[in-house]
Amino acid sequence: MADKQKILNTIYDAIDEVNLSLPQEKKVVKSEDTVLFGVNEQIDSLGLTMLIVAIEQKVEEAFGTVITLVDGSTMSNENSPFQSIRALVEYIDALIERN
Amino acid sequence: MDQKKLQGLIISDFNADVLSGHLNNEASQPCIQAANAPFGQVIPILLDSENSAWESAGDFTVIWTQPESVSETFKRALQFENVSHADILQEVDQFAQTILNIRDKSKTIFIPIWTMPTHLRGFGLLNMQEGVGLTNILMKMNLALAEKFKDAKNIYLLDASNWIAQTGKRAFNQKLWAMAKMPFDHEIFKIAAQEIKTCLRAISGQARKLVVVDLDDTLWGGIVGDQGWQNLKLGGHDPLGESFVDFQKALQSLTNRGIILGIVSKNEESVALEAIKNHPEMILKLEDFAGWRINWQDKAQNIAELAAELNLGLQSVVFIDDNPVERARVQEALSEVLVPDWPADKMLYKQTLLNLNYFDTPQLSEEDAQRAKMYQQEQRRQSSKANVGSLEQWLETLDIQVVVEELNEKNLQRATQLLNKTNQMNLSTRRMTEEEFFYWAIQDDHHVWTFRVADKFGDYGLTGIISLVVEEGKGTIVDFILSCRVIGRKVEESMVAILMEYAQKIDLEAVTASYLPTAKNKPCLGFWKKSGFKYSDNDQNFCWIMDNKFPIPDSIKIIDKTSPLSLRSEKIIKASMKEEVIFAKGVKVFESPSHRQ
Repeated sequence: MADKQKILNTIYDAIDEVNLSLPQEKKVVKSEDTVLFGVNEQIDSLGLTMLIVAIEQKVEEAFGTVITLVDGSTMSNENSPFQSIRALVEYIDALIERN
Repeated sequence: MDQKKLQGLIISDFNADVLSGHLNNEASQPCIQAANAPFGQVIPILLDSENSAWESAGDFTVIWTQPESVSETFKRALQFENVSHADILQEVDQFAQTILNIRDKSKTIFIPIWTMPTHLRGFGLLNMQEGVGLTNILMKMNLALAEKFKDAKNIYLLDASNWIAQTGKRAFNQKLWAMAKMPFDHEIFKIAAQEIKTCLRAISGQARKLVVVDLDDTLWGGIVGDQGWQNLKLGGHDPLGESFVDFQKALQSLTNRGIILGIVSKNEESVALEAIKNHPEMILKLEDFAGWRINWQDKAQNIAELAAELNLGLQSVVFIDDNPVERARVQEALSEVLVPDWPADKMLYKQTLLNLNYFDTPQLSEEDAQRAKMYQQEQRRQSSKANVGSLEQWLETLDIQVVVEELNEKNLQRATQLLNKTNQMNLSTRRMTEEEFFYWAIQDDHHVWTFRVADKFGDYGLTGIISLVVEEGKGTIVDFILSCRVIGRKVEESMVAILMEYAQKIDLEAVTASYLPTAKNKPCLGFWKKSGFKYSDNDQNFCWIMDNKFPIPDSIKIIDKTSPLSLRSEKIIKASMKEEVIFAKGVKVFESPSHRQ
């Protein structure tokens, strides 16, 4: 099992990178409760796209494993991992474990 | 620093919202408010000069396209179809012409050159083959743009291939294209935004002009005071020694771009200078430095004094020192000085220097190339000052010669540079592009004269501008600009005298000059207060009633070369009727009757 704190830090690194180009009012808050997709999402679709790609790249750099965060289910499922950053950590942990 | 936000428009055939985001958020100057036109609408917007998108284009426009969206034939070439490269170049020409047609919609237009995705292998070993290779034709497409825009002073091609190289294989991202119609990685847009800001700084005359270097472990390896110059690490068959030589060569190369060098070092001056003069591997000679402060004083104080001696503001200075404590001290004391982070690894000095993005200028003029030499001449000039008594006597010995020309196509570039760079001796501190200055100068009743100054030690180049607007029998001096290199040598008085001579010829009743104060142009107020013009403290206005003749300084030889290359036909006619007018030591030698208009 990967270090979940390390996964969280990796996500936060990606958020820092994406926030560089977002307007002040749209910057993503670094909190495990931040909603990325669904009701009350706190990021627009372009921001989410950039964040997903940035997280995939940073996970590869940090853990040496290639993950794909977007497939047919992750963006529609009621249990989407993008419902919160906490859920995303769990999802990435599982993906790394599977690889 | 001016906090006004520059307005910019981004026109692209892909989603470039991230670029505007970086431009708007990035902390470095200038502050920017950039907007994106709807992507994928490049040609319709370029063809429609009334499109509302242009409302955001005031200060700059970025037109960023992919080659396959501009050239249908190139798109087919990407499918490995057998196509005519001539057809591709024809389509590029049409695209470039479309841009030329709207070039007046924005002060500056940036066009990132076309690149191909790094994952695109193309024809492999045939990629550079004439008539076949994709790389071959893409290079020609970019060169065709450069050729088409070579005379368009407000259009700049940006080297996007360098951005790709910096980002590596991540530069192009198919996933971002599929999900957001962004062909490039986030990092590319970040680099592009930094580059655009660098270009905007360069265009507004904010390039750094003076590089001040430390000596020990910066210009050479080791401590000269402890080891002696014979034992310094410099050159030889040694990676560190060679790295210092490479660094010195890189510094020397900057002087060819008009950047001058100085030294600030904590050392015994005699010991340090002996090293510079005697070490056989020194690339930089003493004459390569415009000045130095080698002593045990505070480096911040030394830098401030050196900049003042060279008549440069602190915002022109870069300070390079291996010691992080000295860097921090200078940065804290002199916030306007650029103090780059400097690598501990001495073998990285050269690449760190060459990667600094604060030296860019929009053009390279002859004056830029000669600037280092001019500062060396100035050193000799100041040395000669010690040998004469009064200022007047010293000025007499300099044999100063001032050549007057109207603003023309040949001197427009340098004159605009001077207009935008000069802070201290500047009456109104107007900032304009070449085109704006050109159009202003050719208006009826607008007159612009430029002044080249030389003395027995060398040529200062074009260092002065004065302009006049004539209205209802009265004249208003709009620009009065003089490079700090020649301040205090009676060139100021000569410039005003030339203008007043003209005012008298066209029978003006009075000439006025309004001083617009800035944080830096107090020297200009000082000159005008002593000029003999009547000063009104209320509105900082100066007035000369034409009953009296404005005196021409005795120590200056003035050569009037108003040229037939002047900007408008009316001036061409006037100038062609004019003979050369020479004033020697203040005495007019010859003047044609036609000059008395």
